[in-house]
Amino acid sequence: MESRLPFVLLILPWVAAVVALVVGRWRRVAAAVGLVGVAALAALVVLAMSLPGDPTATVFGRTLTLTPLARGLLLLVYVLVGGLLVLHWFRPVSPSFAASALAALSPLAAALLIAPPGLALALLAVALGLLAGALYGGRSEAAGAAWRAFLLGVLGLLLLLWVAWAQAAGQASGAALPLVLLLATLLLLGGFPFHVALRGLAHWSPPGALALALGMGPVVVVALLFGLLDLAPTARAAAEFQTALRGSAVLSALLAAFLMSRERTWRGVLGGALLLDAGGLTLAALAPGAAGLAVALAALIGRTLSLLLIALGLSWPASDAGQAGRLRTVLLLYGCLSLLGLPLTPGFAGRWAQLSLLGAAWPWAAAVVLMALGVAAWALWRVSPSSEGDVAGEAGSLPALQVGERIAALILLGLAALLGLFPGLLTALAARLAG
Amino acid sequence: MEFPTIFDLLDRLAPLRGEPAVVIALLAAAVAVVVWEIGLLRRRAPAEAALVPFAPLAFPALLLVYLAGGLLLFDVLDPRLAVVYLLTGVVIAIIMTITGAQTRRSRSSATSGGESARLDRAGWRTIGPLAFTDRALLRLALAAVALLGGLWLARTPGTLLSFVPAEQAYLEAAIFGLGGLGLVGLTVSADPLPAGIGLLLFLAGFVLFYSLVDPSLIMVVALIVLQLTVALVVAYLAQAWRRPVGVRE
Repeated sequence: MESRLPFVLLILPWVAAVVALVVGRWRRVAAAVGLVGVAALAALVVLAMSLPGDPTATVFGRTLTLTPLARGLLLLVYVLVGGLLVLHWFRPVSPSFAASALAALSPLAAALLIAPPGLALALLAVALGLLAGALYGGRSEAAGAAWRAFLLGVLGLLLLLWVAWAQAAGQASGAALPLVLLLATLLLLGGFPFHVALRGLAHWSPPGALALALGMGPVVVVALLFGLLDLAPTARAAAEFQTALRGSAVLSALLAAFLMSRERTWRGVLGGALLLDAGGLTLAALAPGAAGLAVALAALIGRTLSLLLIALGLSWPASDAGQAGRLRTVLLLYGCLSLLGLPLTPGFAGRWAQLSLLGAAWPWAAAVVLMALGVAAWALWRVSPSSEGDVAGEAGSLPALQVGERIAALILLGLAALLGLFPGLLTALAARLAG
Repeated sequence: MEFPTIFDLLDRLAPLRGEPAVVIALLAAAVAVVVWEIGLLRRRAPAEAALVPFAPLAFPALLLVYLAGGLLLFDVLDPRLAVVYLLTGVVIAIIMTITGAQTRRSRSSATSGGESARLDRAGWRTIGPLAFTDRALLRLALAAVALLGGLWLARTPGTLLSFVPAEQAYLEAAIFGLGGLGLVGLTVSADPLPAGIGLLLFLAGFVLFYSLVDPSLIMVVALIVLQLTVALVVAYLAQAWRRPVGVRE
């Protein structure tokens, strides 16, 4: 059905980003502009859901189609970005965070709506560029890690471009395909040995930007990646591909546990926890079709919620020894435990599904990962509750806590606890989104 | 005076097309990769020596890669599309040159000239007037391996890309040579500028490959978008990386 809706989904984020950039001096105004923007975008997607058929638009001769999968994923992305903009309202993430987040929504949406996959992958690179800018966040120390994350992402996308061509040209039966798919998966999802950016990002990037770039952004990445994996079922089922993915996940977990055991700060353990989660996410690529995408989406929703909790905790002053100080510790501890995927946390639903995929072929490997999870949890326990989360010298400039902020933190914590208590909710939501 | 068309220019450049363009592109790419962290020592006084870095040579070399690579693209694409690639390459080379100048200026403004030369030379080796780091040596060795690989492919056409027509067999050496040199550049540096130039070289080889297998307009647009995005991100992060620690926006 011909409609202007898909086109508006591409234009509106840029308009909102420009407005947010213009009013960037007033952080709350920029956050409000962003919230209005994502609310409007989400309303458009809901409107599209109520219309019969798939809305399509033709732009420069290319057809944009708002498929049911794209509608569900975009709605999820808008909700997650809305949560991050609420965080930016209370606590400054970085000077141009709202504009970066909004601008990234346009190429992400385009990557989901447009065909062929080659053009979609190029547009995804534009989104990765904008997310790299958000990861830098005005901190020169974070620039190197943001660059490495972008570099690995672009290399992964180039490999996927090769896969897209090989698939279209009927050259997808070669022995190189499983290797190329494996490299692309590991590069894009950040598992061992392509985890070099994670430690630097955890140390230096604004925590809210981490939730944006490592939580929300990969939703579209996995959709495209898994779509291409589904086009090459033989390569995906190849023993080398499956073995290497499982091996990468196990090595990621072991390395993460080792790195976390050597750290004494929240930022330090966060790097290890991110590596463990990235290794787990690669396991979702083992399951074909909607099942694999559902596992990945459950893990990414859990990751975004975890990083949101951590971002809130890291942006609170560590010196407060009262109720706010205790709440900060709870936010950080629960967020990190959720990132590890322990029971009663939102990260558990995704981790359990990943462990099931791993244990189905290698039961001993699942036991090793469980052991690594135990070591990682012990490492978290050792982090001092009053440890400075943020970079030195920044804690003094943090604004005082407000009542509204505490209420928002409690609501977020309650939502996370609900999803932790009933992991089936997250699993069902992810399965519905994956179709 | 009549303005020459694309085809007139191609006729004039006919001696450079084909294998000569591959040689120029690969040698220029090797220069763009290896000139980082190498320089000439100029002694001004007994106790003080200034370093004249070779790094600025990377930018004209990058431009040469795009010009020679553009000539190769005329062999596989519609000339009107190839010229768009060529112009994009020139724009990217200009972006990188401006970035190089700005990062150099920001570094020299952080410290005075002689002091910066002395500070920057920590960990450097010298042979006569030539100063270099261990990393520069590694880069040189790997670039030599990549060039030898390109030479081997040029002598054994159809080894890795069997579908390349025999009359265009030189493209195989260009694709893998540029890709290999790009990989060397992007892996042997943490600095976004030299690593970014490596990524752009890798992309130049990839564009050549993709133009060969899918010369459609939509993929030309996609790859131009990709190249420009990489250039802009490299420019942004390279300047951010060279800013003094602790500076906030």
